[in-house]
Amino acid sequence: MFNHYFDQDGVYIKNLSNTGDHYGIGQYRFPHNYELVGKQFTIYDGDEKHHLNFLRKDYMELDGKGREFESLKLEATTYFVRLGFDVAVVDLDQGLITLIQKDKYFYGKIEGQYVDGAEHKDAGDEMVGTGVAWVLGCGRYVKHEYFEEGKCRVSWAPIDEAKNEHLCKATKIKGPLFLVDIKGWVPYNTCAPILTERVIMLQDYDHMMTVGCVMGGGMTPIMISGYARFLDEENLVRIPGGAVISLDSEE
Amino acid sequence: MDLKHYPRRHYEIDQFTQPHCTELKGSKFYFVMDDGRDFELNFTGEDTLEWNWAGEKPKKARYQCLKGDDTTYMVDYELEEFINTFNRVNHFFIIDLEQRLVTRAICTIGDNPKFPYLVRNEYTFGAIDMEGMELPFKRHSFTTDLLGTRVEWHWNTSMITRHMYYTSHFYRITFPGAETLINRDDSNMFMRLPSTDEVAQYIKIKDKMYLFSLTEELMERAFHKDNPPYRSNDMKFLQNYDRMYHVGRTFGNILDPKTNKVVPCHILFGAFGNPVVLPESFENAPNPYTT
Repeated sequence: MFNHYFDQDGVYIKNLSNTGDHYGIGQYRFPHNYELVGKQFTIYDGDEKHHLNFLRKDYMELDGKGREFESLKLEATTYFVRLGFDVAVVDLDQGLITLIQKDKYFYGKIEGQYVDGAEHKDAGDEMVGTGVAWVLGCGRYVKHEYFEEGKCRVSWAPIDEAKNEHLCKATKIKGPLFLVDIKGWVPYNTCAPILTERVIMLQDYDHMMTVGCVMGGGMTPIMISGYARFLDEENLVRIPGGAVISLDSEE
Repeated sequence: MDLKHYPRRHYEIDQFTQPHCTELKGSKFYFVMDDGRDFELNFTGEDTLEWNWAGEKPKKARYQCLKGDDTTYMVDYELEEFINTFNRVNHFFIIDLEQRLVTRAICTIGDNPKFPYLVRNEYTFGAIDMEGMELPFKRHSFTTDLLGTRVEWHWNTSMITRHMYYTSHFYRITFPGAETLINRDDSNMFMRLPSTDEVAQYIKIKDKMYLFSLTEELMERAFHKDNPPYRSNDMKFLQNYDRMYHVGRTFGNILDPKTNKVVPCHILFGAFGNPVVLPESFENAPNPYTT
């Protein structure tokens, strides 16, 4: 009720801002992107090859088999694509596609577009030490603390103290772009669906935005987008003109 | 490495900008406009297009495009013949493929003889002509739907603004922890203004999708002799109240603090929103420009 306003006579004053309850953690999902429609890619690494053919706005074929798909664009030439229950990160700038089928990662080079020397690769310990809250909707966020290579401490709003250490696979896409794949359960009474088993996010540490997908057995995959706040700066606000104020400060 | 320290550039309102959209490449549109001046856009490339008034010769421009939802596009470009002049001109469109409607704004700098930096806006509504389909009767239109809305916008990892839409021609802005901005002081140009009200327009695109537009006009009128930091930027926000985010662009001039010279400003921006409760003292403060 808190965003409903009434005048002194009890007349309801309209307020369009809302918490997007019906979307849950998918609230801030960016508009679908259709730039890949009509394109097809053959990707290879050694002898292994795959073929991706984006036929319509919501339908593509992977190795000749039909899939529904959703594509979100995070950066000028980088797309996060959910292919049914699999995921691809399409990086047209470097001519690379990382294809995740169940647990198998395939770092593919696009035939005819691959840029020599470019690679998507395991991020090693590059993310260790990073603490960030990804805000996916109004009051809905997930906190990530990358405290050790291959592990991430995770909590979901609103229960910040319910932290769990999950296995995490991080892939460096390029520069500030990382693909993070976290497997693990979520506590009851948080903003994430209780069936959540896996969260795959493409994170941009320049623009501090993310797109991704939340998946689990028995649930429809949820596409997500959001913005970041650093864990040690959650109470700092900068106002236009440059002044920084702390919301904790009495003054 | 704590990626907080990634060597990113300094961002203001442009950090949470969604990426430029190239989906319209290869598309051609004929806009039937209510002012009788029909218009054509031909998207020739990922960031290039040709534009012309109906019956006239096409001209080339570089465009920017963002999506407000799956089928609504915000497109804008500067007219090349004026880019390096004082009198810059910007064409701005909301292309609504779901309803086959269009909003056009022609934004001009240098039109006001007393305040040449002020950006003048001229809005026209129309429909998109599509072969084999009847032209819609419906239009985008100015609206009062947004009045009563209070919303908080997150622009970058630490910048938050709070907007109050309370009358058809103005909006009011504040910041978390700073609602006392109604108590004015001399700490910066914003605070020296008699209030944080600013001239604004509200246009309905469709349910839960609005074009909110403001021109930083009052600072220019009040402080133009003091060379203020913002020299009348025209900001257009395509606001999606279904998802609670907006995309937008600003067009105008700003003061470069390093050189102390006024330089052109034309950037894309974006922000994520949530509801907010504002103090009564802030909400009920009179608008000094109208009272």
